[in-house]
Amino acid sequence: MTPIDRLVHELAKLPGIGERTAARLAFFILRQPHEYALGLSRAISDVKEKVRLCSECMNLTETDPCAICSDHRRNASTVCVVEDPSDALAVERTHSFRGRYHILHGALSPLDGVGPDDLKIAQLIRRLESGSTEEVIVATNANVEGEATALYLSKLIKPTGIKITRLASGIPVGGDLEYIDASTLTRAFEERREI
Amino acid sequence: MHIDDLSLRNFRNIADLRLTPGKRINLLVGRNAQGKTNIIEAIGLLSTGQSFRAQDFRDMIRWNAQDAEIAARATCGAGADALRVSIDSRRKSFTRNDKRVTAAAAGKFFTVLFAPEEILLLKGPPASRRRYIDSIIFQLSHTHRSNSMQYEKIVRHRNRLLQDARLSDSARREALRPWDEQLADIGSRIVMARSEWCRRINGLLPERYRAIAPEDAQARFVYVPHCGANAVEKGIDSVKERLRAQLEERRSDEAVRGITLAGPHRDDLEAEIGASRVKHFGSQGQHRSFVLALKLAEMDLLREASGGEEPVFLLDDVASELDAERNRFFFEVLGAARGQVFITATTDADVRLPGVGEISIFDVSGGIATPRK
Ligand SMILES: Nc1ncnc2c1ncn2[C@@H]1O[C@H](COP(=O)(O)OP(=O)(O)O)[C@@H](O)[C@H]1O
Ligand SMILES: [Mg+2]
Ligand SMILES: [Zn+2]
Repeated sequence: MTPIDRLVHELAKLPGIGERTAARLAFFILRQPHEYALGLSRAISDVKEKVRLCSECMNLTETDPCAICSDHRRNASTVCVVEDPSDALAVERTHSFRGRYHILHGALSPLDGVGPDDLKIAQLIRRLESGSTEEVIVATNANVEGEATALYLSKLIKPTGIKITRLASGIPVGGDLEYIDASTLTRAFEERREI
Repeated sequence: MHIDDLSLRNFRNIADLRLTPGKRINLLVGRNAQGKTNIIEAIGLLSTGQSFRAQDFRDMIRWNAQDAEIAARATCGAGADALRVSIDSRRKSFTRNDKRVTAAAAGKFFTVLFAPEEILLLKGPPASRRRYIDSIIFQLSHTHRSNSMQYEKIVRHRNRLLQDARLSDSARREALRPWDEQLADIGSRIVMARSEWCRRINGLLPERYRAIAPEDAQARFVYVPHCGANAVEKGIDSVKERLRAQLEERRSDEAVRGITLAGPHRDDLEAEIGASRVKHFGSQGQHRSFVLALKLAEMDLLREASGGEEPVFLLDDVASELDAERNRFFFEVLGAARGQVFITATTDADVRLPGVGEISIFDVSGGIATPRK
């Protein structure tokens, strides 16, 4: 394999990138100055070397605990459970939530072979058992996988006596949290219901 | 509602077509395999967001072309809208007046489709009748469409768990729980919607059937929910309760067969004339009259739902499937109605009947439609 073939091959593994796009990207990189290629490859390796999971909330971070978990002004008694780091970002953008997060890294999806053990659920339960959490807000996506995850968590958490709520609809059915504008999401927080 | 202007590009065998239909009856005439049904399919897709015959939406793109496009100017109530469907290898997308909309929203105008396959609706498998009733409700309720899409996904997730050999019985039970809950929840909404719209169709059907077969008993299209009509009678909560109970009852069967055995994906609809079931006892003529009446009731329903506006009627090769008497009846009804109609036929002799009124004829050949002077 030539270096170009190798690059195309690796790029084509990225989600949403086909062989043709991969080739276009590879030739683009080839035409750039040397510093660009170095910068890109360093950024890529840094992501792997420097970014890890926060041992508290499982979010991606460079420091452990992450900035949110170590911010004492934030209310540690409320934990908002989301599917992905990007969902936590979406909630942050609303500025209406001052608690902490827990990132599941996915949702239950038998069709994709994702079960409870593939998500950061055990870590959440451990955190709830050891900590001072009073309310868990489940903010998984409003699709069938997100709903199944919420129902599963509710079943697990109910016996602990901790209050568990689910974001209100207002989120369009089948909608992904990430794409919902801040005001809709703010309202969903205010109108959350117990599950 | 009517289409003022239709253009197709790289749609099926049609490279480039522009059609300016009349506001009333439009006849698309041509030999077989010339593109008549393709035009009907395109209009249906504009209206419902779905093709009535493509298994895969990519099949609608002209062979060797990258993408297909359907564009139309359609008048519905308030004024003219520019509707567009674009199909490429990845997706179908829809715009109205150049704004992106969901498939359902593009259908601000309603269509009633009558295709030869539907003559067999009452004889075919339950799935075809479920699809039929849902396709009507989809036009009227975006919620029902989205519930149905979610429901289908829930059943697939559930079936996967039922088939997963690595799970122990207790682990499977645990894993199924959130899916059972959702099946009961979304399933009950689907059942209630089907029940409600069947009720409304049954308010319109008997009169339409009586007009075709005056000496016959009353026609009804009865919803037969798998959860039982009793539960439906009592309301959504009891349907939900009943679905939960049925899943519990069928649990061991499900484990053996690896498929979901309770829920609205097992519903049926039954045609009755008087006390007898058309499926088993109906004559050839009763089958045809029933389906014809059903189509006219569907037209009434959509008209009612849109505040009195006539839906667009799409008739694909139906003249060749109905006998002379029913044909005459049907065209008299259409002639008396006020809406826009598209009819395909291999010869215009089929449709040249008294009472039909003014007809715009288009000769369709090799994917090209030429207005006849
Ligand atoms: N994706 C496609 N690309 C090109 N031709 C197609 C495509 N799909 C179907 N066809 C052709 O369209 C013709 C059928 O058109 P249709 O509208 O069903 O005919 P009819 O006039 O009998 O109703 C056939 O010749 C078929 O091969
Ligand atoms: Mg045809
Ligand atoms: Zn953290």
